[in-house]
Amino acid sequence: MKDNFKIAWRNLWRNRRRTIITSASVFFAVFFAVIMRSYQLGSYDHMINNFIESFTGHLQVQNVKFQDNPLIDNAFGYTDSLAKAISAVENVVSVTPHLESFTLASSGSQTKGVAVIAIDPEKEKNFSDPESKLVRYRINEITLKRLKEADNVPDEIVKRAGKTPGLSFSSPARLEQALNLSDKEKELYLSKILKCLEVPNNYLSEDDNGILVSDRLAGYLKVVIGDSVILMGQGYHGVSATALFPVRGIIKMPAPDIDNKLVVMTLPSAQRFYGAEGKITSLAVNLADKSNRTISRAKSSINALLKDKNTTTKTWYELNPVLYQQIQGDSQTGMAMLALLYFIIFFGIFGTVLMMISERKREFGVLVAIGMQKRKLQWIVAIEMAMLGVIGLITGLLASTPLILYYYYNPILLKGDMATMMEEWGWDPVMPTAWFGPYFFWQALVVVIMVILVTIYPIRKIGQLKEIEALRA
Amino acid sequence: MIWSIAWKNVWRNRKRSLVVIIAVTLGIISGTALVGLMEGWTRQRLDGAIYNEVSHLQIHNYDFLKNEEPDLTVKNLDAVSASIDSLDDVVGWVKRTRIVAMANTPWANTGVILYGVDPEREKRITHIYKMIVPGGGKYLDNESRGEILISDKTAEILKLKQYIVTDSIINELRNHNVPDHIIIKLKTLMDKRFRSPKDFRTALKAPSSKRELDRYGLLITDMALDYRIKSKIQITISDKEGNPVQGVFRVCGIYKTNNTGYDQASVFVNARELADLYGSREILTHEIAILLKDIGNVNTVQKKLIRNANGNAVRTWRELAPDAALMNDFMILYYFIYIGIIMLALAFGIINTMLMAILERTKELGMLMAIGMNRKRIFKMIMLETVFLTFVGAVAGMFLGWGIMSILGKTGIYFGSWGEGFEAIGFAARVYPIVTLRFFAFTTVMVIVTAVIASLWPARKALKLIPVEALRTE
Repeated sequence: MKDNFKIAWRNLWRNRRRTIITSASVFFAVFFAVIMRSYQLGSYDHMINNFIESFTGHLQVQNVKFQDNPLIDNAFGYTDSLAKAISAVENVVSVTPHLESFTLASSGSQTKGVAVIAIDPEKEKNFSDPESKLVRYRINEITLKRLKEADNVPDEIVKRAGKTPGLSFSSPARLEQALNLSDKEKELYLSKILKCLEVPNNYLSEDDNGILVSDRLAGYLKVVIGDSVILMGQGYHGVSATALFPVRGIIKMPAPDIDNKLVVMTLPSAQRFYGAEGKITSLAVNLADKSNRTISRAKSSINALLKDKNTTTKTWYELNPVLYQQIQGDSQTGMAMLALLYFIIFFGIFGTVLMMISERKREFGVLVAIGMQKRKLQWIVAIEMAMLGVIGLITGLLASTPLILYYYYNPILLKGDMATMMEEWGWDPVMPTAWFGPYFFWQALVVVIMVILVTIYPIRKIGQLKEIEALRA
Repeated sequence: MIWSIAWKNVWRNRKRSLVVIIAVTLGIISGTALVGLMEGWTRQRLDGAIYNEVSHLQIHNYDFLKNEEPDLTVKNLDAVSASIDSLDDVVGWVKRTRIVAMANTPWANTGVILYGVDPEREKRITHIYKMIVPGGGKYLDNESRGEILISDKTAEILKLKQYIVTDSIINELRNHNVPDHIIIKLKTLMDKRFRSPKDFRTALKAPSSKRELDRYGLLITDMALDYRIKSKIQITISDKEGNPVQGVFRVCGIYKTNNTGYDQASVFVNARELADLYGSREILTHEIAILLKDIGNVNTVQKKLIRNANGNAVRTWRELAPDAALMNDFMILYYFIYIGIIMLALAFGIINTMLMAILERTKELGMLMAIGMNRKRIFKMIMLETVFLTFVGAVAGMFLGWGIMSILGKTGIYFGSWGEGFEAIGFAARVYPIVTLRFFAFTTVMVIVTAVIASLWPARKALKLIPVEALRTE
């Protein structure tokens, strides 16, 4: 056996160029497939982390009717003991109660239909974290004036800021990006600029009776912090709900259609407002990992804890079938592209094998004529093929590893139109790679299958070999 | 001379050449299919964006874009109208009222954007009137009073879709060859109303087995679907004084475009009636949409309109539907990516084959050189041979790809289970692939470039041969 390997290895290097080209084609396919797959899976992962973990949760406990009929009448009773019991389930990281509904918001002569989400301000920090979305900096007449009057901020920067009035930011990083500050400018003036553009803002306290209003909605209603907004709608089981709420803070949501219509308040005040004491519409549960197995296991253990027959647990893909389909659709398209790539590479390898066989026909004839068993010859050729594939596979995987590692830790940040578009769709414009997972090893399987298919031809040819004819070739 | 020698050389080792040719053919067919699909999608999205949603240009009051307040109508309407009328490549233009509203039915409510339109003029600009679903009533007209046009998606949200099995539906199903034993089971559900597809499916599940459901479930659900046309929808807006007012409209029709996002938000009524509800004598104009004869003139027209637009924003479809514009601009990039990857993968096989052809013919090449064929000609011969080899496959691939895509372009490809996801971001669930001349031109160039690059190594190898030594090889 050892000899077979040695012979096969030497045979490979007898025609060095051919070996290199053939392995290079496998290398190219593996490298490309791994990188592309890694980006795709990484983006889905990021999307799920970003969107699911802060909007839906991996799992949600709901009234059975709520998904089809998201009315406050389909709320369910919520107690701290239920939250505690669910927290104790294996892999559960956070349990966050929400009370969601739709009402009219009105201030002065402006009225608009808005989405109201009632939260537990402390627990929510581990979920959608509205506190991090509070508007910290704003470019308007007042802050611009402050910036102008501030000494040693160059006019150039003031002018740049003046070009885009009305913008608001929840973090210094976004502000930097919008003002297009160079590293040097950042170092010299950033703290000054931040100080000038800063606007006061507050988060909700535990039992606050105030609300947070999304930025665009606040603009529409013409309210600022300290003003009040009237909310009118239908409460639990048809009671009419109308009340005045002071605005505590303004939050900025990246997706415009959410930013247009979001009001956040605390659970106790929402329950009073809707007359739904002790009720919530959903309980979002985040898990330690989001593999389908963990999710379905956690789902059944949480379902076992629910005493109310009208409540059930739903997974994120049951709650967002559309997002799930988008991911599936995109993923399948990517796989089709890779299948095509491998298919073409397979043909290239097949061509090489075809040539090799016709070229070495005489050599095979001699070997068989002087008494080499055909079986052994077949073995050697099979080993040659396997080696070709393995060289390409291993170099491909090795070459892609540093790239994957680098872009995993330093994901690509998209810019320009593409980024704006993604933000409007509610996605973060970031493209990280995925950590090494099954996709990495799948390539190995594909290469193995290719090698097996490609080996069939020479093995059959050797089996049918007639020594006399072959010697004459 | 060189050309015919190169061509004959391709066919000397037929089996080997055919492997490469078939690989190139299959590669180009797949490339054509992928790009055709992308192009079909992009075109459908573009057409959808322009002919259903945003037209070529729109004019709004600047402040209206920030806050959609009803009193922020288009400024200097007369002057703006006059300047549009003076343009000569306009197919048509419309004025619309646009108010954010709440829509209620006894079962559900949702927020919508209510458009007040002039139905007859609207038909000249947008194709929504062609998008009425089967059994979904009719488009608005100028005579009928109190009518509202909503989308399939809005109907679903407002629970105006119901599922009901009646005698006529049973007859229809018989015509579709649904077996009798299933029809007998269906009769147990006769004349019961189901308000959501899910309830209906649950009810179907009870009498029928899973296999029957997989086979006929979709057909039965489609057939049993009944829109509650003529149902009343209550619309709430804030009127001129800012007080909430309610108006009741009857659903006259249901439309469905490929973009669920647009569908979900957009609801249409007669502009006159919306003005009455708002409490204004005049019809408010928040939005002007203009359709041009030629999309290429958009920028010049925009410039002309901006000159007389005092206080109004004139925006093109590129700004109004940035996703469609971006897709359109990226098309050439897709060509590069798809065809580039395919050609790169093919290049390995081509190089290998050509190298083999050179090594095999060492003696012959030596002879040619010895009898006086110069290096330039040898180089040209090998390059041409590579180009021919690749090009035969490419032409076959383009031809077959074009054939397949033209057939699929007529029938369309239906992405059943993912369709909903695509439609949510504006892409059709049924795609009609398109292959353009532009793509074939691009592919031809790419193929030739690849072949020339792939021939460099083998050709260099041939040039390095020393005639005397080459002649001595076996």
